[in-house]
Formats: sequence, structure tokens, C-alpha cells
Amino acid sequence: MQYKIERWIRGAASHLLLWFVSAVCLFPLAWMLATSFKRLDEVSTSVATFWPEELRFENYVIALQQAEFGKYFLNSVLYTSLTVVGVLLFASMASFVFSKSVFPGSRTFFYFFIGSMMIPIPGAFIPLYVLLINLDLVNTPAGLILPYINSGLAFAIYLFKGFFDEIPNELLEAAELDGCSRWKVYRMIMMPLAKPILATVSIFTAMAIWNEYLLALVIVGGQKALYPLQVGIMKFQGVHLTDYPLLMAALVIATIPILVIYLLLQKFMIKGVTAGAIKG
Amino acid sequence: MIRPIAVVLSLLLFTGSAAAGVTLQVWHWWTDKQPQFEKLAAEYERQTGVKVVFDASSPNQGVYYTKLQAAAIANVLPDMVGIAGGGEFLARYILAGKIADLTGEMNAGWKDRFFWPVLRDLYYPEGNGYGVAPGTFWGVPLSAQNMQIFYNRDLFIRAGLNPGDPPRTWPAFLDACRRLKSKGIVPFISGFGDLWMNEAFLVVYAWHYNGEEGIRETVTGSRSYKSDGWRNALMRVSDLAPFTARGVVGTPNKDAERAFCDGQAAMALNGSWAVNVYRQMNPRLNIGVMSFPADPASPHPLYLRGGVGAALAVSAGSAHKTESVKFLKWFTDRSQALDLVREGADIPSNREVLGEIDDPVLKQFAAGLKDLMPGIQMSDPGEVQTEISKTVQQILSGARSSSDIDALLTNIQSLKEKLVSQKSRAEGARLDPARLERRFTAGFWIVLAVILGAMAWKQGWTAGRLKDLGRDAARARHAYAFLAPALLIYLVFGLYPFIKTFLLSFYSWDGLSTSQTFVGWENYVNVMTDDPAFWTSMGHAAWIALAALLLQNGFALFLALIVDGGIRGKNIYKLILYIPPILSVIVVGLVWRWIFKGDETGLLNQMLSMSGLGHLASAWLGEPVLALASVIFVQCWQGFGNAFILFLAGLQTIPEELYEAASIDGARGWSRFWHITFPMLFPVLCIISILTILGTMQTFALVMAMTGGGPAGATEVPVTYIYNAAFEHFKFGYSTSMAVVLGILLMGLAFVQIQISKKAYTRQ
Repeated sequence: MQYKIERWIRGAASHLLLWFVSAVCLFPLAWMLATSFKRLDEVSTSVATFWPEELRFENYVIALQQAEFGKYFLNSVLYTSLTVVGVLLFASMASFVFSKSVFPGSRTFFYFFIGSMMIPIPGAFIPLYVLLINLDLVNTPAGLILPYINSGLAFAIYLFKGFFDEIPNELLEAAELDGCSRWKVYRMIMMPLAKPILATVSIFTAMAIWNEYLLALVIVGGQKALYPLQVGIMKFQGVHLTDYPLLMAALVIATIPILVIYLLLQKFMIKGVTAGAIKG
Repeated sequence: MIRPIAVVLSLLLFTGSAAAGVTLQVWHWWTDKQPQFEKLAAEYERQTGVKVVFDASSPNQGVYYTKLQAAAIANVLPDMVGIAGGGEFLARYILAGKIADLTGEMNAGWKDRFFWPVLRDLYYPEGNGYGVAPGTFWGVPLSAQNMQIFYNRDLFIRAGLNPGDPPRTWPAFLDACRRLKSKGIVPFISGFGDLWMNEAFLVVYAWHYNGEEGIRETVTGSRSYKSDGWRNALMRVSDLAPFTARGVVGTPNKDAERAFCDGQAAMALNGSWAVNVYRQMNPRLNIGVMSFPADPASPHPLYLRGGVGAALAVSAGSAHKTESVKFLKWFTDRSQALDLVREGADIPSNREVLGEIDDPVLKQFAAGLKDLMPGIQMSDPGEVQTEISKTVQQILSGARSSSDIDALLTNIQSLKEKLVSQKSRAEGARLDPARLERRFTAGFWIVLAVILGAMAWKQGWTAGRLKDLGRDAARARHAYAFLAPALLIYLVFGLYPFIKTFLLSFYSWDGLSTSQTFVGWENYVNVMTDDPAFWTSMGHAAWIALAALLLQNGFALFLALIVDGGIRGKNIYKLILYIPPILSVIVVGLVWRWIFKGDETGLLNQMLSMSGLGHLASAWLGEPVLALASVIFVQCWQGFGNAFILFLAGLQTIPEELYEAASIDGARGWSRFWHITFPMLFPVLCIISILTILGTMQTFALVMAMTGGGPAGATEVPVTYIYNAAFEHFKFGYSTSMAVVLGILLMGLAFVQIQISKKAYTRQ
């Protein structure tokens, strides 16, 4: 009996703690949403209230009516999806051979990639930009996507390699005995098995790229038609006066896609992280 | 290989907008003015057929300048660029040959239409301190501004003060402050969380006590900061300190403006641009404007800080310079200038329009243009100005008092002397950079060859072994093919810029000019021995890392244990706890800044006072230690989800049989955790630790969004420091050497971590 009570108390305390933590985690999202329905003078008063006076969708209408908003949105979708595809493809291919092939320089190349996680970005900013100019890639989507792919490669390779190391070699050997080429093994055996890690890497990469703006501002900053959402949203922030409800409405719109991606893919995440980062 | 891919991608995606006829591009950051600009541009196109495209990409001046600098280096600046004035900033661009000289046009009558104290900011006279050709004009002012003190008439009345006769002298001003305070009204608020606002306040009194001659002498070095003029100016700051709103040094100007509009404080130092802001935020606000209160004892006049507001410069590389000048002439014409003023509630730069202002508040600002500080076009290095601003913040926040002023001035003076001596050492000691560079290059290759040779020797790489390797490589051709795309992208877009950066760290380069001077190890010597601020920022990052390692990861582990223990709603919790990492920094910064706001509108303070803990309410971002703690908290809040997921994943890999076996042996609770869970989790712990260290030591965007490194540099971290050195203080070469030092340090830390985990692993 005493044991039962103790267990009950412990369970209740756990839930209480988790509720509290969840509330703290969700609060910014909720506040953003609540503010997006307010009027400007509602947020400028001294006693901040959480609930808007009424549900006003006009901020969303205004945000969406900004001529380029849809375009920025599409640009962001494009940059993010192409970067994710690039990272998934190139990192999985590289990790496949890091994990399953014996070749000279294998370890060196691997650490070569991993080492790049330690380079602080701002220093390499200008040389990268000058390089893009020389390649004629400034103000083109490719000029943004290729550095984006690079930025996601190292961690993705690390995760993929960890995952592939867990896949028994016998499976591949059997396939090769059946006459499968390396490419076919990669495509027909490794990739279908790699679903959890593909999802995990997708979330990590999409998150980083969807929310990035500094590199985007510099690289495609001269071509308005190419702005991603995060750069486009800047204009909702005034130099002197910011319409917070409008800004929040824009931010809600900008947050929804990444949230959806996360909700769709998150059930694979634990599995992917387990195999990728922990066992590897 | 890259090019074809790039071309294909570009063809797929590029939606060009090539227009017929001449199109002029303008970059600026005044997002507020964009609609008016567009309106006028449409009018211009109707009249002349020339299309002018205004592009305001970021309301943040710093971010905008970064974009500008990158474009300047690559010579792809648009036809016209928005600038905030002359001074050192414009001079750098002029000296690097990026800006077109407008002297001829200006002298041919254009300059007559402008109010001289405004145009003067874009003019470099004989003997200017920046080395720009004397007597030259480089920009076109669109608007004027100056800074004075706004006051809330209603609050003045409530305190028994006469709103028609605001205090004119410093003693009277302090009296007014006391009266306001005794009525429970906060006397003074301003955006002292922004560094420039601190400088804006101090500089008025620095001029007031030093006079023009004294300021000139300070810049040229014949007058020390340890002199009466500067001491008096800082004394005024410490006089003001007790009357400022709580946490004022953690309040960016935008927040201060909101607080003033809301009637939370009686007075606010702000610029003429704020008239419009206040009106829009609160149309019922009854505002008055007064000049700075003067000290009757000072022999010098009281000048106002101001001059050019928004200005445009023509880029030297523009293919349409003539058209640009033509457009600017039209743009600054009477009727267009009038339009800009009417719609934007701005002070015009055009003299003829100046008289047509009918708004009483704006009129006062327009009158203030007569009392502007004389333009001297020389200044101390940016680092000194930053230090001065931080000093003001320290006094305002109460961290330093009036008795510390001498020590603070000594600090500023010694920083200046250090910078001057660094500069002269750099210019004097380097006899022949070219020779030094050759010697260095040779040394580099020799060292590299020796290292590679030693490695090869250790591996036993004889000719035969090499042949084997070649054969192995040939047999594993497919492996290289699989590796190729990733490797290629990494080499081109990752490694190459990094190597370039590394090489730059041996040069002195301002990030703009075409000349890069080889300086050998000098940058590194300066980082290691002569830059305490950089190491302070490292210290802050180390605190963040430590807190994240112990508190964030410890708590994440604790929750992971609970959730893994099979609690109901496990999946929901898992889902929610990972929300913070997916939010963008913009959202996180905005929301948490509002929570941590220092006045009673801050959410945390409101919650504290509601629960009877009002005495705990603080200026969370306004006091150095609290600000760092707040940044640490938010960093952990956002990083926590990652650690949680990893721990959870790690826990699920522990086989159930182990626990079963242990429970047979009677192990429960703590001992079960200590003998089974913890050792089994050790590898996960190591990975999380490495990722945490890498993430926190390189934190950047979050700090920028929350505090910008303030107050008084209390939350400066290495990457913000490096960023500012490169893009604000024009020390690009030097900044890259700091980046390299940080990179090496991180690699070292990661290496140590891996060694520890390996050792622990083998011991198991």
C-alpha cells in the first residue's frame, strides 16, 4: 500500500514537472500566436495581457497581401528542400563508403569533414562571398544552396556513418554475391533501411536552413525576387516603429511549415538519433 | 564540375527581372521610408522613364552594413547606397575607391539648397583626420536630425512642474528629476541598451565641458581623457543614474520608446525621428521637447548632437553615375523634399523646406539644427568610442559610481594609447612586408613538408607501400566516386574559404581596401597578449558552456529518465520538449526579451509581483550579471531539447535484461542509475558534451537577438566580438586571427573530450 502511494506521488510529481516544462517550451509559440491577433495599441499598454481582445485575422491578411510574401515563401521552400535533398544524397553516399568500404584515406577524409564543425562562421564569410562572385553565383539560388549544403554535410555525415555502421556487413555481402553493383546496394538496400536517419537529418537540416537569414541576406541580398522568408520578414520590423502584431502574424506563417515538417518526421527521430549519434 | 551544376540549378530557379531602359538600384535600411521612396520613384519613372528600385532588406543598420561591405569588396555595389553620415565609416569606403566624388556637382550650385550644418557631415575639409582629399563632397543628405530631450507634459503637470518652461540648467534639471521621483514617476528613460545612445548622451557634455578645441586635442592625443572636461562629463552621467528607469542599460531604444509612449517615464533622450514614432504609438501623448540642460559654470556653449539623418551616396562602380546624380538632384528638389517631410514627419535637409514645418515639436528640432556641434571630421578609433559607451553604461547601471570615474577614464586613455601604439608598431616595424611574406611562405611549406614527411615515415611509407596504396585506391575507385560530390562541395564552399580566412589572419586588412599588408604573427601576438576583451568574451562563452553542460544536460537527463520510465503521455512530452530548438532566433529573441524586460511591463516581473515576490523584480537584461544569466537561461532553454532527445535515445539502447539482472541483485533507484544507467550512457554523454561545447562556444545569433553583447559588454561572446571587429571596427585581418584561435581551441577541447571518452570506454 505504502509503495503504491509512493508511486502515485512520484508519478504525479513527474507529470507536474513535465507539464511545467512543456508550458515553458510552448510559451513563446503561444505568445506569438496570441499577439498576432492583437491590435498595435493592445501590445503597447503597460499591463500585458495574454489573450487578445478578439480573434482578428486582419494581420494575417495584411501579411499575406504583401505582394512578395508568397514568393518569399516559395523561395524558402525551394532553398530548404533542395538543400535537404542535397545533404541527404551527398552525405549518405559519402557515409556509405566511409562505413562499408575500405580505401586509402578513409579515416583522414572522415575527420576532415568532422573538423569543419569547429570553424566559426563569420571569419569565412567574406572569402566565401568573393568566391561566389568569381563563380558568378552571387544573387543566384545555387549560390545560396551550395554553401547551405556544405554547412549541413559534416553533421549529416557523422549521423549517417553512425547509422550505417550498425547495418550488418553480411547483408551487403549477400547482395553483392547476387551481383549487385555498389550503387545498387546503396540504392536498393541501404537507403530503404536508412529511413529513420533520413528523417532525422532532414529535420536538423530543414530547421537550420529554414531559419537562416544572415548568409541569405548577403548572398541573394541584391535580388529581391530571391529573398527567402526570413529575409523578407525583416521588412515587417521597422527601423523605428515595429508593428508587433503584424510581425508576429508573419512569423507564425513562417513557423508553420517547419513545425509541420517536424510533426511529420519526429516519430522517426528517436530511432534515427539512436542509431546515428549514439551507437556510432 | 561545380559550374555545370550551378548553371543548371540557376536555369531551373533563376527568375530574372531584366528591365528595358535604365534601372537604378538603391540599397538602404530605412524600412519605414520604403513606401514613400517607392511612391516618389514611380513618379520619377513617369516623368523620365528611368526606373529606380529601392531595396530595404534589413531594418538593422549593422546587418545592412555587413551586406554593403561584402558587396563593396566584390565591386557589386548598387548605383546608390544609403548611409548614416560621413565620419570614419564613409571615409573607409571613399579611400577604398567605392564611392563617387560629388564635389564638382555640389560646387556647381547643388550644395546651396542644403542646410550647411547637415551637408557638412558629408564633406571632408582640409585637415580631416581620415586622409580623404580636402574640400570634397561624397554624399547627398535626404533628411536632417538632432537629439534632444522629449518630455511628457501631463507627467510634468502631475509633478507640479511647468510644462511650458522645462529646466534649462543642470541643477534645475536634477531638481525636476527629484520632484518627479518623489511623485512616484520615473524621471528619465532612454535606449541606453543601445551602445550609441550612451555615446549620444556623453558627447553632448564632453563638448560642453571641453569645447571644440578640447575635443580636437583629445582626438589628436594632446589632451588625455584623464582631464577635467571628461571627468565633468562623466559626472553628469552619474548625476543622472539614480533617475533613470530600472534596467535602462538593458533597454534598446525601441523598448524605451514604447515605455515613454506609455507614460512610464517623464523624459526621454531621443532623436527627431522619434516624433513620428511616438505619435504613431500613442496619438494622445502630450509631448514637449527641451534642449539638454546646460551647466552655467561651463565656459563653453552647449551643442546638440545631430546633422545628417538619411543620406545617399553614389557608388564609384555604378554604370549609371550621371543618371544617379540626375535622380538625386530631382529627389532633393523642393517638392520631393517637402513630400518626404510631410509623410515621414522628418526634418528636411533642404533649406527652403525647413521653414515650412508647422508641427511645433518638429519646429523645435528644426531650430536645434542651428546649435549643432561643429563638424570636425576626426574621431578616435571605434574601439575607444565603444569603450566610452560601455563606461557610460557601467555608471548608469550603478555597477560603477562617481568615485570610480578616474579609474574608468584611465582605462579609456590606456586603451587609446594601446591602439595608437599598436598602429604605429604595425606601421613602423614592418620594414618590408613583401620580404617578410616570402620568408613566411617558405617557412610554411618547409614546416608542412617536414610534418608530412614525419607522418609518412612513421607510417612506414616506403615506395613499395605507396604502390600498394595506389593499387588499393585503384581497386576502391567506386568509393571515391561516392565521396566525390560531398568532397567537392566541401572543398569549394567550406575548406577553400576557410584557408583563405586562415591566410588573411597574417595580414592587416580593413575589409574594404585593395591593400592587404603582410604582418606575420602580429595579429596572433595581439590576440594572445594584448586583447583582454576577447578573452573576457571567451570567459562568458565558457560560463555559458559550463552551465549548459551541467544544468541543461543534467536536467535533460533527469527528464529523459522520467519519460523513459514509461510515463503516460510519453509521446506528447517528447513532441513538446523539442519545440524550442526548431524556433527561429528572431522569435526566440523577441519573446524572451519581452519576458525579461526590466520594467514592470516585463512578463517575469509582472509574474513575480503577482505572486508577492515583487521585491525580486529586476532589470534582467540591464544588469551585467543578470544579463549573462538570462542569456545562459535562454541558451539552455533552446539547447535543452537536443540533449533530451539524445539522452532519451541513449536510454532506449540499454538492454532491459541488464536492469532485470540488477533488480535480482537488489539494485534499485540511485544505485541502479549509478551502476547501470550511467556507465551505459557514458558514450552518449560524451557526444552530447562535445555538441554542447561546440554549440555554446560558437553562439552568436541568440546573443545578437537578445542583448547585442551588452550591457557594457557583459554578454559579449567570442563570435559577436569577432563579428564586430570585422564589420564594425574595420579590422578584418585581425578578426580572422581570433576566429582561428577560437577554432583551434574548440578542436583542442573536442580532442580532449574524445580522448577522455575513449579512456573511459576501454576501462569499462
